Amino acid sequence: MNPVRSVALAVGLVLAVLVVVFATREAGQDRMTTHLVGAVAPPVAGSTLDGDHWDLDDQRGRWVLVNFFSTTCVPCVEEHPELVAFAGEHDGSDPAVLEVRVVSVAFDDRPAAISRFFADHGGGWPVLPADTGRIVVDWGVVAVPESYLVTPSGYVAAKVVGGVVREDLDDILSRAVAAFTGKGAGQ
Amino acid sequence: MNATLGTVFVALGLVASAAGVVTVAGGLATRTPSLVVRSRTWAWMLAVAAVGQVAVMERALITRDFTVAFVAEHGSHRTPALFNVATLWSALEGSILLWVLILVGYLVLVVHRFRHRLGDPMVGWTLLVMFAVCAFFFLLLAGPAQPFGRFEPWVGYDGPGPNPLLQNHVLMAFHPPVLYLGYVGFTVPFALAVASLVTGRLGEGWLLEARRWTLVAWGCLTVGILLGAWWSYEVLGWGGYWAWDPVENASFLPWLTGTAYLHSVMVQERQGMLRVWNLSLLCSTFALTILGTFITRSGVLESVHAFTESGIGPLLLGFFALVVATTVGLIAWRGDALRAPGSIESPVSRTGAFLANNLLFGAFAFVVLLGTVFPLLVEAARGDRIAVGNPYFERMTMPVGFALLFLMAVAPALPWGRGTTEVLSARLRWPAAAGATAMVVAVTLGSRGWAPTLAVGLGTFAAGGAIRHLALAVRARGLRGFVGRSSGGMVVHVGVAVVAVAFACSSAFVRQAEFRFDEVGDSVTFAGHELAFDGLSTVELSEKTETRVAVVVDGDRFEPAISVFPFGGQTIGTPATRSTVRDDLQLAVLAVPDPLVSGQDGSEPGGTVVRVTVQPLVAWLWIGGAVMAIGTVLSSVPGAGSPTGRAKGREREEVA
Amino acid sequence: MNSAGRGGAAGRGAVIWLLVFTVALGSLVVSEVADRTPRTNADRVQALAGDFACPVCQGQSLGESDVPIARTIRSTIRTMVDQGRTDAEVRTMLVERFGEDIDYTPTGRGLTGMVWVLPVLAAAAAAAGLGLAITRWRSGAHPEVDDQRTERPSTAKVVVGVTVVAVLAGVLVARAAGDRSAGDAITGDIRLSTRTLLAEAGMAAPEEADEIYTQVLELQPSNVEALAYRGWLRWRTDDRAAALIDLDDAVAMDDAYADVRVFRASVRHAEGDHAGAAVDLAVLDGLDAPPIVGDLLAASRLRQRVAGELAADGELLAALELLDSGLEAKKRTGGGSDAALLAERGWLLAATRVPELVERGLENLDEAVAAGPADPHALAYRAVVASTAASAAERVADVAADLEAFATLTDPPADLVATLVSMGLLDG
Repeated sequence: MNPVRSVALAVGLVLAVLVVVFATREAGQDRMTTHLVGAVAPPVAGSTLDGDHWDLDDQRGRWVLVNFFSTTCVPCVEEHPELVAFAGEHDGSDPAVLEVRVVSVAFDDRPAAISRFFADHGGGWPVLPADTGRIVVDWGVVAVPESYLVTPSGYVAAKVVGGVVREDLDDILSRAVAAFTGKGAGQ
Repeated sequence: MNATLGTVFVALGLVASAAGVVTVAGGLATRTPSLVVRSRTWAWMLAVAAVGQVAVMERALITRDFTVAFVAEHGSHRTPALFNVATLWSALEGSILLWVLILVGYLVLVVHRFRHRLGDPMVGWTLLVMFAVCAFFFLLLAGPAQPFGRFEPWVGYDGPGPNPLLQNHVLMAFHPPVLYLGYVGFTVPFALAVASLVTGRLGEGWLLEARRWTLVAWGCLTVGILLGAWWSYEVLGWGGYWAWDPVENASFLPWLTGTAYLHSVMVQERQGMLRVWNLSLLCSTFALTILGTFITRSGVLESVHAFTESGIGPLLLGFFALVVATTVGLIAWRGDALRAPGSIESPVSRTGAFLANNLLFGAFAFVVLLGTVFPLLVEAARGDRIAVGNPYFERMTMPVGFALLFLMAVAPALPWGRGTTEVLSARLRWPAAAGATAMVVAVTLGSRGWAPTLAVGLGTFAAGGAIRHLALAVRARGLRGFVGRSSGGMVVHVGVAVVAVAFACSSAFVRQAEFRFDEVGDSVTFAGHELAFDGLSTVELSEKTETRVAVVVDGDRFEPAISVFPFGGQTIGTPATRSTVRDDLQLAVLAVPDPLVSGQDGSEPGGTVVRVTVQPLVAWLWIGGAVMAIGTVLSSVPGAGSPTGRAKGREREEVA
Repeated sequence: MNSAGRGGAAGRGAVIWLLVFTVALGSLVVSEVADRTPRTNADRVQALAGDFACPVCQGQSLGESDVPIARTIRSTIRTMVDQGRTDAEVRTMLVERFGEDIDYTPTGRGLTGMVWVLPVLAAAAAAAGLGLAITRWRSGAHPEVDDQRTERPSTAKVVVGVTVVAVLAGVLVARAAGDRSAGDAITGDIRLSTRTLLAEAGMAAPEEADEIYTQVLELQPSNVEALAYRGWLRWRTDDRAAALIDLDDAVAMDDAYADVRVFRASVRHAEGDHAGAAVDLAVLDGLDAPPIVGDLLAASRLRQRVAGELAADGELLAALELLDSGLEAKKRTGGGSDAALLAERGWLLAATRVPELVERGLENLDEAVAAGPADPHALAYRAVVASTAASAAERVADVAADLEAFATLTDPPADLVATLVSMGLLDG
């Protein structure tokens, strides 16, 4: 085969592969991310709306749901009732139901708007409205809403991207508990 | 009314181009020249269709006729008048209208130019290819990219207007049309190349023809790319002008192969060699324009420039595949038969240099293409997402860039035959000395780091060689020494050297920082300049609310602004730039105080944040670009070195 | 040139070249080792920020982007740099949190490393091809050199040798590109914000817009903008009762919101509650409204109509106060005198037919024409009043001038034309 032909065909083959790759690529894919799951939970600490100091490290021994949200984000507002229901169910008043502490971290928002938001929609758990920049970067949150379930020993058990639904949360919680207790204490 | 009229024009265009394809194909197959001659009619019909549809759309845009869906989606009463005309190419369907207009314009020019030779099969094949490309784009207009869909506006309806980023600067009016004149212009040399391959005729006359068309398209593409960079710099406010963004790369790739062709064709003219190279380069250039259009419009690669996803992606990809298949097939079939029997006498000759030039530009294009599409390949193979950006491109293109600068300096001094050391030494001595001197000057002025210093040296070396060439030509022929192919080419080389040096220095020595100002009178020192904050002022305009931040830098008052567009809630910054021949200072507003927002970066609320960029030699990029444009114009005027000149008398310059 | 001269020239040439290379090499060395302006922390931060992608933007680097997350990450980088961390540590931090596609420099390992290796391979292949072609030409040009047989094996050796070198070089380049652990890819949702919904509602058809506003209110019951605009929409679609409820609620929620005042004034005026409309307009004047509101008022002539109705009801003082409030507001924001409002003021005064008031009215009309020589109402009103006033005789020229100016207007309001025609000042 003469050299011109071989070169031309080789180039053609490479370009054909390129065309196939382009053709089969679906633009704008979204994927669930897992990189923080199983790792030690990054710090969450700051002053809440009420002025108290809240620190994730103080919650060792309890399950915690860390929720990142913003008042102008539509999926956040939609998931809020689910969170209220979940928090109400797991508030520790019923000994048969596992207690889960909920904390919300506001992403790019104003304290006044957050207060009004909680007044409008309910929910009595601590909210961190200020100085949350470092927390957001530590957790790798790029867009809200995102929620993370943290084990009593301080590891991230699960991550939910997008709004939470109470049944799904219960499901995730029970699976995480099973995995956690299965591994034994001191994990 | 507008919508109907527009649709009629689109249909007319589709019919005319299809008819053109059919009749010319039939005429070629049955060897009936009269059928091919008929293409004049089709060309005029296409002209009517293309001009008509653009005129109708512009009229709809200017009168804000919201019954046309395109106008309803992109026009607005609030947009200033000039921008309504430019709104045509601010969105997908309108930009295809512009593309088709320019393509049909080129088609009519081709028909006119070859009007006495329409019976020649080579012209026939050229026209066939051009009609086919027209048919494809009209198919896009009739199918997935319909511009004349209908819309029922309710009372008081007002469209959203074009993207506010596009309203900020008058350059938006010029950048796409000039860029398209370049992009679309490469269709003609491609058609000629295909015709050559099919008919097997490669007489030098045809290649000259192709060269002329390529030069025009190349010149427009060069200016278009630089206008884009200038707009990017003036409008986006991050202090940069080139980000190796997929859309930028898409416009750069055909430029690379086009440049390679413009050089390599000289070898074919003089010695009949490198024919297959030239044909391949022409076909690659066109294929790359289609690939570039696909990348820009399909949303397949993320980019700030990308248009929103649309249905034309698959069609463009299919067309690209067709072009590649046709080209590869033709070259594989015919390529070897077209090879010239000669061989290159010596690598140390201009011929050898041009061959090396081809390889270097090919390598450059390979690197840029690879870097652009690599994330896709990895994702297809492994499912992981990676990013390939500035660090990769800079590192990989730097050696190629240096090699090209060196070649640009040395090649014009090489004779066509075998080069000897004495000749080379004599010709290159003073340019090399100039280069070395420039390096010393640069280091004295503060150049640190071997890369920018070497760039200054090689750039001056190259420019020196070119100026020497021009000086000799002017000495021989007076002012006429500036025109003509080789002199014009030398002017372009000077422009390229200037751009290369400016690019290297501005990238290497850029300094950038963000500063926060709280009260009037706050001042900071940065990169030898003192910046003093002088307050904010808010101006309300009809389409936006603009907050101007006054900063006094070394006594000059700058007013970068940040504008909020109520419709859509977008916040767009307007940077303020001061350009001098030494350096540019640009200020961009990142944030203005909003008393209700608690600072997310841990700082207290409020405060005006301004980004300062100090970059040397940026103005020289644009100056160099202008020189390149001037050189291109000079080069298209026939001079002594052109075949016309050569036919009159073997009057060669010292390029013996 | 004799050989001695040529030798001399070549000697000089050689000296110059030697000088050139020495100076060039020297400059390069000096540029590398000489003192440079020390790289500040801010420079390091900017350099680092340019090498990473903004996680939510399309195609912008962390350094280019202005979105809050990018600025937050930049500030984190700043903190780390101030703490003395190395570039590699910053890279590790970012990639661990955001995935490998935040790093613009592809790793040198694995499949990704191919992006570094392939160009080197391609360059090597090209160089090898060129070399082979040259040797082939050389041997073709000098057929007396008979090493055709040794040509082929040595070609193979050359190819193998070049390939090995190329692969090694490629791998070295890839390694030099950096060592990083691969992470999982990451993507993020684009937030849907109520701002976006409101913008959508502004562009949607009436029924859709109503739904969108209602949706926003369900999500954010305290969103006064949604409430006000829904009220206005309902008014425009003739759902008057609901409109008034929404608008009243909006005012109650935020009494400093300008848009709702205009809407409610409009509605009240249409319902006949001119006094209420005047109250809203007066409050509006005290607020810092965006210019679009002013434009809307001027175009609809709402204030003038309300004032006219008030005057017709006998509340001339209230009407004048309303107009004055508008005039003052405009003067305060530096807009000068409002010709249309002055014209209306003059017209209302003149309509009383009380001579002193008519004269005052004419003064106002003079000011109006001075402030707006092309304002149709100013011209028409002054023409009518001047021609019927006691001082008509002195003002004939003015009247003629006004009528001429009015005639040259491209699109005069029909009611004015009718008035002028009925008074015989203009031909029908």
